[in-house]
Amino acid sequence: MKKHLSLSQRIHNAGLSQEAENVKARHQYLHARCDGATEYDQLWVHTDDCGWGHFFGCMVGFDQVWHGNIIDYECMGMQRFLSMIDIYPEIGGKDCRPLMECSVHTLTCDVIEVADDGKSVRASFVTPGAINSTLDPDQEKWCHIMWERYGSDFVIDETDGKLKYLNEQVCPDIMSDLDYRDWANEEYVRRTDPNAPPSPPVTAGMPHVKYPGPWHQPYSLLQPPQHDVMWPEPYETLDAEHRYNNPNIPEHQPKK
Amino acid sequence: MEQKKFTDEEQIRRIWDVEDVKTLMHKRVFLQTGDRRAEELATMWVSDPELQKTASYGSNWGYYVGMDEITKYYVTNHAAALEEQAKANGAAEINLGNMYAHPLTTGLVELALDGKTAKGIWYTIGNEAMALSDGTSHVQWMLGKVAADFVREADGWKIWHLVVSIDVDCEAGHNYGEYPVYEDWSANSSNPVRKEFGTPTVEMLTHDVTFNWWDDYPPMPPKNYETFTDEISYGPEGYKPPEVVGMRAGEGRNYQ
Amino acid sequence: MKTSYSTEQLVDRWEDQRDIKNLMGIYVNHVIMNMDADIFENLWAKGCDDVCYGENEGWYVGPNAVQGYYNANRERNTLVAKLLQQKFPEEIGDKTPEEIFGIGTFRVYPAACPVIEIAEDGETAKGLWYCWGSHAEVTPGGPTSNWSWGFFAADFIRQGDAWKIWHLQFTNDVDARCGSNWGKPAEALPELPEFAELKDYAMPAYSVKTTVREAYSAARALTPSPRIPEAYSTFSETFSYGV
Repeated sequence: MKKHLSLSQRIHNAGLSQEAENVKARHQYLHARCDGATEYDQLWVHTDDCGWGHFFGCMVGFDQVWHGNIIDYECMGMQRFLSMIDIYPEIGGKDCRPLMECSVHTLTCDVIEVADDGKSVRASFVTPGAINSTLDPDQEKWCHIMWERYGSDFVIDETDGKLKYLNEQVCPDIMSDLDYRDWANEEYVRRTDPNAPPSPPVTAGMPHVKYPGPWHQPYSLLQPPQHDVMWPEPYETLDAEHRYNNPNIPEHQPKK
Repeated sequence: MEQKKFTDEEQIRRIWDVEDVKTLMHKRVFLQTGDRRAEELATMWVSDPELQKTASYGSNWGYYVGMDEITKYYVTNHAAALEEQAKANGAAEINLGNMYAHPLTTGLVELALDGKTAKGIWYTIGNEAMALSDGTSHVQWMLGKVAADFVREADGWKIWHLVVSIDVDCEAGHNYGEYPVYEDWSANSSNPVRKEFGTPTVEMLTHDVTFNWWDDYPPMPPKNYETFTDEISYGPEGYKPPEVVGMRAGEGRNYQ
Repeated sequence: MKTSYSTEQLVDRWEDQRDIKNLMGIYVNHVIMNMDADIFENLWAKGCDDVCYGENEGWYVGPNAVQGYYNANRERNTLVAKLLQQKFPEEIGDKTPEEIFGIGTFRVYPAACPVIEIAEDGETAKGLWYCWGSHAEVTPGGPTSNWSWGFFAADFIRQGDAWKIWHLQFTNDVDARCGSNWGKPAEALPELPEFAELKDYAMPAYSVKTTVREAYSAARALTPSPRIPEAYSTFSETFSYGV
């Protein structure tokens, strides 16, 4: 219990904790519609020190985060749309973004800590997810299962007083297909059979990042456990020691 | 986190309201494992006779409206199907060899500013196993959104409108890509999930999985809504089709 | 929610349930990162002779048995790493046991849809979670991955300022190979000589061998989840998730 805080502060922080769950969930539902524009416009602080990291490295600053999550992503959606429009004429006139895929990274195992100063929230999640699409240029529907871990930092946006994302660290752990693959056995076969097909790419694209990865590697048979999205511990205020993404990134150091 | 218009005591009670709504839906998951459907309707759904008239249970193919209709579909017809299954299998008891698993994740709950209602959405990656006469069972993955409206009654929060919106269904151990791109969603469909839903009170295609989440149904609950209105209901009165649909799935092949 | 709680009690209780969710989230993360050997020390109650950990087929009861269970997981992971190193000398032959510890085993058991009840006296709590998980293990048949469908059910006890695990059940309905249909008979992987040593590795015997939960089969009667927690005033007035 946070008995060292006033009752009013504790209630404020309880509200922030619950709001962090909601912001995170809204992110998931928007992401599943590939609606990055709404997500990043409304749920993120537009600052130079925000960050979004994945296997391929870390984007830093809102401009780069926007580029990687909206520009690159929407380009992928449009390319898929163009490659499907002659096959599936019924997609004409429809928003091409959600037609790309339905990418649901469900949220479980939340570990949430609110700063004693009541200005930020840190949270980790385990996310068993599914990415599927009915329409595809290959004319086969598909559903991948993807397991990841998230580390997220949220701050109160000084411009409107709302709790928003500052950082997200996405750590992909498992990728497979629903439901006909033994992913660990396939990995063993790949390593022991020279004729086995290569492993699929970790991500569909490699966006621009200021700090290139690879950071967190997906499961492979010879990969030791990775401790790069540890759960948050109780903390007083958000600083370089208490935030996700790489703490050695200069932009993530506290402002003087 | 609300705009500061509530006292500390009001605020912590509102925070608990959200928690209680989540717990209600989580308890429903565990009741489902025991197929305790009648108990669910009796204890978790609205008891006010006026609200019971407009209670609804929706899926991709429409809504059962009113507790009588919901009971007929959800309890009576289900029990009859189980009796038939047990008879066909020569089983000594109903539900022998069956399993129901619909865990919820990614909860997003919004409490009305007037505190009388709440709205929530979740995602489920679930499965059902139904015993067959050959001593094996048919196991079905079921992925989709679960959304609900809640009303505060004297003894706690109750479900008023529920939507179970299926995205992916696929037999365990089968490649989802082997299923046809276009499925028959009519009442005559052989799809087990569609068949189970029967003929609802209001028949309409509310969510066409052909276009992933393009139709955005059911939508996320609105943030900070003042009071419940039909416009935002998860019942049939709140269903809004996309403004421009253009062609439906499978149309547009007559162009020369 | 009991309506007679004071504002401060409501805040205390809200923080308690948040702490318990955090505790179980941290537990799951320990398992993901193969930190089994730290679990008992970091997360379990101390000084309670009746701590217990249950699986489908039995219970480990008492601090030594519970710690022993987690230690055995660690030992198995050590053996798995050694066998993989022997199999892949080019890739990891020059690594120390510490550097390769944890390879081959990846267990993700997400705890979802919590139902948590804090006792009115604030000294204990109960929680039930659904767990849809997946895990990769190296077996005598080689590496393989499974789907797992089951439950965490736990009693917690307040010790000092922290909540600790007192009794924990982690039981499965399904533990089936990914890509298989758990409604049909399972096909076992043929054994591989390079992993034969794992056949002889046995987990410690249960303190109490009993059917805690029968795993799913097409012949099983409908089996509900572990009992859902109910509001209670003090632990002696409710049921236990322990043995």
